[in-house]
Amino acid sequence: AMETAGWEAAVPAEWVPVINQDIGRQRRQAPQGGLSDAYLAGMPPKRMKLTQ
Amino acid sequence: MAAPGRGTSRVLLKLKRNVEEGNYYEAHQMYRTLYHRYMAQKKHAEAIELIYSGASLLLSHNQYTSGADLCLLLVEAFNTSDTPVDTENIDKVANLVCTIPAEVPERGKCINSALQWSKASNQAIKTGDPELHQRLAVTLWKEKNYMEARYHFLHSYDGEGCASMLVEYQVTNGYPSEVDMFVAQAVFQYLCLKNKACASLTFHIYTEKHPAIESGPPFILPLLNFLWFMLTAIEGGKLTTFTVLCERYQPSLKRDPVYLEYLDRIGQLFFGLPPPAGPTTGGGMLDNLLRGFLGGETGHDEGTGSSRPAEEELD
Repeated sequence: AMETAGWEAAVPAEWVPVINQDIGRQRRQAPQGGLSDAYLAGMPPKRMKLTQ
Repeated sequence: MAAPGRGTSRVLLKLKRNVEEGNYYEAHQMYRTLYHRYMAQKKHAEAIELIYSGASLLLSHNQYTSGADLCLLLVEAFNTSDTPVDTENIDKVANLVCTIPAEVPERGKCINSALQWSKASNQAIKTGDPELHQRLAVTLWKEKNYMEARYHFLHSYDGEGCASMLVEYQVTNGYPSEVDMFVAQAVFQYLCLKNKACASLTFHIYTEKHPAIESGPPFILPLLNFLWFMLTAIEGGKLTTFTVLCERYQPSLKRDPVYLEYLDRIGQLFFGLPPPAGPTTGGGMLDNLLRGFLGGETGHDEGTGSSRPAEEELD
């Protein structure tokens, strides 16, 4: 309860239940595995160099 | 543009007959000679008419190398005569470029010179005219060259085409875990290019069309909700909303470390945040990154006008 105190006021009321549900979903979310070549091809060119 | 005189149409007919009889080399040389004569006489409209019809004709007879050569002359004539970058002229050059098959080595040169010319339309757009980018994107998409198509869509105003292409690209080449990431990447990049309309259109059409995305909003995938909220927050211009969203969706945003860098930039562009400074952020590196992506200014990527740098670095 502590960690959610306050932020709700900064967003439209109808977003709050969605965001709360997403906070829960993100906790259970599996860590992102490796990314496909197709996805990585969309990176800015200079970043491609850095990630290799 | 002045209508070409009687003399020009006679010559065009003669050259046409030459090509139809298969005298390609001769016809090509004659087009070149006449082109240079017209240009020397400052008869730019005639030169353009001649070279456009010559290039179209040679390309329709599968004479790609000579057709591409004339295509380059057309762009040269455009440049020399300060021909306006409008729909009619973009059509001309795009019609030619888009009939050259991908395997023809000269095609890249034609694309680059056309993009270079098209920069005259708007000095603020360093990567070339959006209409021309759109035509190139559609051509590359048809060839299933998704990677380059994606680059050109991002520099076009065709968010709808971009979304449809990305759905196909994701389904055929991406991982199932990247369904939401493909659209996030495009939305962030459009926003970094200050193209809010395309960011929003791409998001809505992609989420509507993708077979693996259930109806929404709200969506089952948190990253999609983030994008939806963020696009709304940008409309409202409320910094606190934007900040809260970035905080609450950290786990989703960390799936690709570059997202946080895009969001820094988006914060600057749409919410007036100062650029990150100080030793902790390594701001210089991010700036370079984004400039590379934005496609100009650093010098290194300038002038290629296509996603060639990325292609090289993939090897």
